[in-house]
Amino acid sequence: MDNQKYDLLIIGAGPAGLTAGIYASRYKIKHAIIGGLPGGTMTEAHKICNFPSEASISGWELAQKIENNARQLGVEIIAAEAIRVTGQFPSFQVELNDGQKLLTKSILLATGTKRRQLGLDNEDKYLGKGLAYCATCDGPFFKDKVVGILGGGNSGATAVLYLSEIATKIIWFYSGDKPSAVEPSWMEEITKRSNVETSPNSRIIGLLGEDRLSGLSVERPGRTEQVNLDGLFVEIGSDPNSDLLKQLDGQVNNRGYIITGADQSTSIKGVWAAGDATTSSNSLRQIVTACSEGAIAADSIFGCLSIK
Amino acid sequence: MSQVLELNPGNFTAEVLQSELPVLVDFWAPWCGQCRMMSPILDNLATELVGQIKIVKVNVDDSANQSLAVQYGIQGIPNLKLFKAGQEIADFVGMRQQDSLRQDILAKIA
Repeated sequence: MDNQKYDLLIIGAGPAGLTAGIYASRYKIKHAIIGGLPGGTMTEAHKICNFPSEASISGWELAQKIENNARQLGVEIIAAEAIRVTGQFPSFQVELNDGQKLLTKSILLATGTKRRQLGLDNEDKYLGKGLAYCATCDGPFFKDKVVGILGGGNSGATAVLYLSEIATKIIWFYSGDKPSAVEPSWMEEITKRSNVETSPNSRIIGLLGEDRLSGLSVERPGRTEQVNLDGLFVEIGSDPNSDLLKQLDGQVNNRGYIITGADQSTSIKGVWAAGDATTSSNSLRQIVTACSEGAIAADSIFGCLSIK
Repeated sequence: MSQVLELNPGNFTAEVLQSELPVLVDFWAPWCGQCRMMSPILDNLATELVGQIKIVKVNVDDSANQSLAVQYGIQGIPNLKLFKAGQEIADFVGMRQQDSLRQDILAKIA
């Protein structure tokens, strides 16, 4: 399959990439999606209540629906990771982690974001041994346990809601006086949960435990305390995966997000970007905005390839 | 479709603890995205390392397998545990690339 020639390679199989694939199929653009996990970060969402067609659905189920739609339209999904991009419009080469090198006229980067870690020295030691980064994935292993959740944003709030149904007690750590930028409807539900204890103005400075995580050193104003618990879920945001654009010397903003125009174009001719890795959608970063950006990008690419 | 044998508490002892070959046990669940990404990698390694190790799976989402998840202290998936002569000799937590996983497995069973 070396040197197969595409009109478009979509890098990333989350909602932006899959939607772009759906549109590209209908536009009869010769394309493929590169991504090991159809659905991407969306698959980790415990519950989605704001996707227009779904009153309530898990991220995994919604991802499967979108993937199935794409596959039914004949979208090719290559289960690999793109590690290097070279060339210029209309002749790019995309190198995959399995050694394949694919040629394409154009590229859509739908590479999403990666989770932030705590940044503590012994973090790796506790991974899968009490320390986790995905509540939906690892939450079921903490039935009847005491669990900490770090992060005062929406992802922290949804983790609190999900885990409070499983664990005996939740301790919700966040850095400010109160959770920040959490949807009011999530907060309303959390206040009804009697097993949720909040820990404002908190910073986790140490992970404790012999073989497994059994406690935390927590810095609070004027004091440092040891908190005993069975697990900690880290939900402190994410950073964009924009390295591939940087390889082409494309423009990113001061936080590393890919700068995109209204047509989802980037500063590099022949390269578009959509979804959470971009500056589009006023930083809203929702599944519905990712889908929208994927559709707009596919349309822009169709226009560009048609007039070339 | 994965080529790797699915285990349960009924056949775990025979297939893992009494196996003559070292065994890599993949503790996974259907809703775990990273587990899904690991599946083709494990299929490839099962083929590549045939005669050197055996690779099997335990679905921790199946209530029948909860006892195995508890017994082996699973608190995060994907979690791969390597057994040799009935003893757990290593575990690998989280998503792994094929080359580095193969290298680590071969080093452990050498």
